[in-house]
Amino acid sequence: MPGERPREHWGTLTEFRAALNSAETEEHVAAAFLGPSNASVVADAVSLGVLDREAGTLRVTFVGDIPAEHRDRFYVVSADGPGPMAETARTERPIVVEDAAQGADRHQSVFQSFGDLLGAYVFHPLHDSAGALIGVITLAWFAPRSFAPAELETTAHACAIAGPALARVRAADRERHISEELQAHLLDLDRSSLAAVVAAVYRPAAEAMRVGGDWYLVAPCRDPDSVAVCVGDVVGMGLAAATVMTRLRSAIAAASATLSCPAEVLSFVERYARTMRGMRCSTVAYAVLDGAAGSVRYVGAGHPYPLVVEPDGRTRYLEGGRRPALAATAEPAAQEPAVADLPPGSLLILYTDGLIERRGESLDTGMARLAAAAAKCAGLSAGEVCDELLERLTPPGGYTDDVAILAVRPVGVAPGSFVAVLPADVFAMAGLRERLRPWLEQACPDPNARHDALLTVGEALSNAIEHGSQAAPDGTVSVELFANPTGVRATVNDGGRWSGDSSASRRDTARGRGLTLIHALSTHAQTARTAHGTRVTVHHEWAGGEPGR
Amino acid sequence: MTTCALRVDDTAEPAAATLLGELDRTNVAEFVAAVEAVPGTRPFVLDLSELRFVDSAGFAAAIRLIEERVVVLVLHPVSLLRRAATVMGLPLYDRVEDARAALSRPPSPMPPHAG
Repeated sequence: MPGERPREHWGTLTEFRAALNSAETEEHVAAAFLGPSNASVVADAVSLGVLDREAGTLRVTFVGDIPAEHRDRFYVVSADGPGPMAETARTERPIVVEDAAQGADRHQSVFQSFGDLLGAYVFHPLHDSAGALIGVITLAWFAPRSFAPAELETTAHACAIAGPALARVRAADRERHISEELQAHLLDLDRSSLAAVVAAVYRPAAEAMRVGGDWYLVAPCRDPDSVAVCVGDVVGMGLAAATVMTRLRSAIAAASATLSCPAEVLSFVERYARTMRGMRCSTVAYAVLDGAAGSVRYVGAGHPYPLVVEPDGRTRYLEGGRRPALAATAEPAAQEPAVADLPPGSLLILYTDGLIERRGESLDTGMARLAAAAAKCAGLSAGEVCDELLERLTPPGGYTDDVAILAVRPVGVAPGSFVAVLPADVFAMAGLRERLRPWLEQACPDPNARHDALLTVGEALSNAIEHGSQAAPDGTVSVELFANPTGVRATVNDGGRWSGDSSASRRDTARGRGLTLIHALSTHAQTARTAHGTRVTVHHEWAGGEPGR
Repeated sequence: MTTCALRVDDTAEPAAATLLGELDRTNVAEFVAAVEAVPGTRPFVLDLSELRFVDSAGFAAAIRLIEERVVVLVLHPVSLLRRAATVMGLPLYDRVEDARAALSRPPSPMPPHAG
């Protein structure tokens, strides 16, 4: 038990106020009651219950020295419950408990849960500036103690200041949540095609609302070996641009499902763009990847050239198939699509101008910078390439325009690379192992390392299938392997969001065992969670020492 | 389709069964049923040395079979599965003869490579 601590009131309520003013989270609001770390502590621990009227619950945030087990047990409490926090929410009156052991019988179940830990409590309602109840703050002390009337008065005063601060934090949270949800829905990534691994990122301009006019699209084609990929830029920013973007995107998806020629697709949407306010002068790069032929047919309407990165790091811009921006000229553009090779292991990168343009610089400079950065990404998975390019090409001070990047890698096998997209079905695993074995055999001289790589890739895929694709029964998982003289590097991607991570990863669960194998048998393994799913990268080295040790 | 098969040698007690093929989450239930259907005394010897592949679900099933004293496991030291099996903490005998000898020696046998 901690000993006596010096206590003061928020004697400097000025400091308390300042802490609340800069609060950005509910935790910050609760922490303000602990006071500055170097000042005398007012409460030993604080919990903040935020009222969720729809759910009929209080969602509790703890600050101070409260063990995780207690936090987990009381992270949400029913607003109808018997506990003192719920009672405070119902009566909207404070409850003062000078000695928990002597507290009311109806509250004993809660006090006993914190038995050895806490001795005295003040539960106080929090109201927003309109006087509506929004939460309950619990101030707790390790040992029983008495409260002077002046002290309780100060507490009431502090709560009157904290209520509106909490209301402000919650409103900002809601706004952020809405715009992130909106963007995630507007820019969904269709990963259903088995013809290519696809990955995308969208980065709004600094300081902008998280929606804008740049977009990417992956659309299934009638031919299952083909997939349409597309990036575009609608004039303007904000909700208006986002609305136009959504319409244009849908029109292109519809055209992709029916028309097989890229030039016809753009002519189709061009006719539409002439009739739609705000669509004029939109730019689009559109390509149909033909997995069986190892090629891509493409057109560009006033848009920066797509970039191909070959497995050896050579890059080339696809400069054919040019036409003006949509509906930018009086006469409809008639243009044949251009064709380019896309050998196994290579990567097609579509992007918007925000990635390459910088004020006071020629476009050629920006394109050269992109090509140089992309050349270094030849051996990375499509998802990593998006992240790397976004990172490497960030101008000093951040992007001033929004940026969309779409990276596409066709499925296929070459000596240096193995790329596959599988249906999210555990029964697809046996077939994948059969295809992967001969590739590993030519890539890796050590049979033990080959076996371990086969196993860890299989475990990562199984996890992706079972845990990452629950929300999408018709979903896919992908794997991209690259070989170099001393190792193989594999990246497995799924389209889902793993939930309940902490408990699902325990060693004795099926997934926990898989993770144990992945980490113990590989030289290096890491997991990244993105807006479009989970990415597990496994690295097996076999030169210069035993792998995995 | 992942398949495995059991080859049972019951000319001696306890029986020794050799598992062939591959074992993963898709055929693990059939594997367990086949092992439990082997007649004779428990535990008997299950030899994984000729298996080509076992995933984490297969290892989990093997661990349950050991814990329930249905089998003791043999995995030859040169097997490619050996590192993974060791990581999974499977108690292993190197050879069928070692396992049989240990099982015939009262009291309860402790495999040499536990943990």
